[in-house]
Amino acid sequence: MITDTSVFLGAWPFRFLPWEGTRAIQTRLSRNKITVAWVSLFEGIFHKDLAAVNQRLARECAVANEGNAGTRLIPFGVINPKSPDWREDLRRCVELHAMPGVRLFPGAHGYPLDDPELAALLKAVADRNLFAQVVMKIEDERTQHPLVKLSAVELTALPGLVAKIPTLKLQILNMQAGVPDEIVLPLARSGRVWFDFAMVEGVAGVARFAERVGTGQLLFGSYFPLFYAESALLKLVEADLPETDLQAIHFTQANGLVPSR
Amino acid sequence: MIGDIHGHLTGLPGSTATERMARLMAIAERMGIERQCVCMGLNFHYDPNPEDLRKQNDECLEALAHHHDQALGLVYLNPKHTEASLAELERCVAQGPMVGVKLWVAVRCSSRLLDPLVERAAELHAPIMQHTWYKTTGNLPGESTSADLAELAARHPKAQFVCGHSGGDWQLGLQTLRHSPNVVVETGGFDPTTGCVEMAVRELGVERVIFGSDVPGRSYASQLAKVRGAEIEEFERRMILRDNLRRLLRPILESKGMRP
Repeated sequence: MITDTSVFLGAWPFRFLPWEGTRAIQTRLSRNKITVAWVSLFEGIFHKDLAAVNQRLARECAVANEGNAGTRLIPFGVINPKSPDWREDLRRCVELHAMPGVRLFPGAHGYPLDDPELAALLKAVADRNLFAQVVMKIEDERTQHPLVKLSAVELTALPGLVAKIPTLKLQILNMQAGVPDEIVLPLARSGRVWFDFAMVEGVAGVARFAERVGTGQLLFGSYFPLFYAESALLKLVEADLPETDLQAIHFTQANGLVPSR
Repeated sequence: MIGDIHGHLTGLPGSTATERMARLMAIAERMGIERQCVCMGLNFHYDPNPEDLRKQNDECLEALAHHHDQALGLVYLNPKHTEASLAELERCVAQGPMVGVKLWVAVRCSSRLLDPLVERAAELHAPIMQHTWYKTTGNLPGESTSADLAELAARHPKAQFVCGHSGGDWQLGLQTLRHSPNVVVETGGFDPTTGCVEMAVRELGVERVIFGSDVPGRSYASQLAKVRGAEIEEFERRMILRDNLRRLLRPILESKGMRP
């Protein structure tokens, strides 16, 4: 039983992926014993009409979840605090689509983490008891398409932001292990910030990262289907963690934050 | 059994090559790696002088000493220093236990400076692993692309080459090697991006794809995932993870009386 907190549906614009369509993604997740997946659409990174993107996501998940046949897909809408009416986009995520969380792309949407609109959005997210995911990086800078050159999101402002919103619960996706302790440790010690490890690299890199932040702040996230889900699965084998920690990372912690049903 | 053609000592805990190799091999065993190739020394040098080269290779030799044929070495050479590199090739491969050559970023590999090194390596049946990348952010001055390697390989049809990182940006890198039958691609050292191994098998044929990890900068996990998770047949997975490396190294291992 695994809850994968970092999965995407839809079309990636820069190459064909080996799996086409939601059903193929869902089947592949099931084959890897991933029973629940928190999903967004790739189109949420690139489109401007996010209400339409989130509506499409909700529909895809509803169809895929019919009959409880395979991996349960939990929709996470994409919100851009620089959009002219993000509050309405957020309202629809909650009230029309019953989404339990939202995914944010500060790098792709072009705002720093000390942007006042982001603070307002995260406050609204917390007030609605939603879970927030902030994507730190989309792709290795060296292999990006020349038209899309994005750096990793600078996290310096995040500890202060988290401290100001005491009910906020947030996950950093595609966390970079090179972020210094003065930023990572306050986030981890808040007990309200979690990390995935899809982009945490190096031999036994996840074990080292877990020592820094504590296994209680790790959630399984594969970045499938851009990355092979086997990468995150095997990283936990390489980390050689105790079984209780593995269960917590695989599903207990995530399911405590966002119930799967 | 899995064979990994691409590993290093830099970045591992431990103050000696022996300590670092022991640490690496313990994790390798956990991940099912039976045979680990390593190259270079305790610290990376982009453009090593003759003294640096010797030191790097001495450290690599020390790392190999306690692991018999489970650990294999590639001699690190710098084409800017022809005589010193040829001497290292003799010391470490012809007279020593190493089984291949590692070239990094000192000189773009299309340069004629490589020719004497490649000719001697071919005589020894030592495959040459050349680092390659196509970087959107720009390559280092001496950093090769896989197109440079294709040019070198065409000049030396009897030599055997390994394209490190599959060109880095593998969608570009793999295209450049379609017509280079004496080049195999190594799958390590970049993110576990889906489709990479599928494209390599489609464009080059499975026999020209071998597993490499580029540990310890990368995890075994993320690099194995490219092969474990690829949409290919089981026999193709076995070829990439085991058989192709064995076939690549068989001539030089047999010449040294080592098991292929």
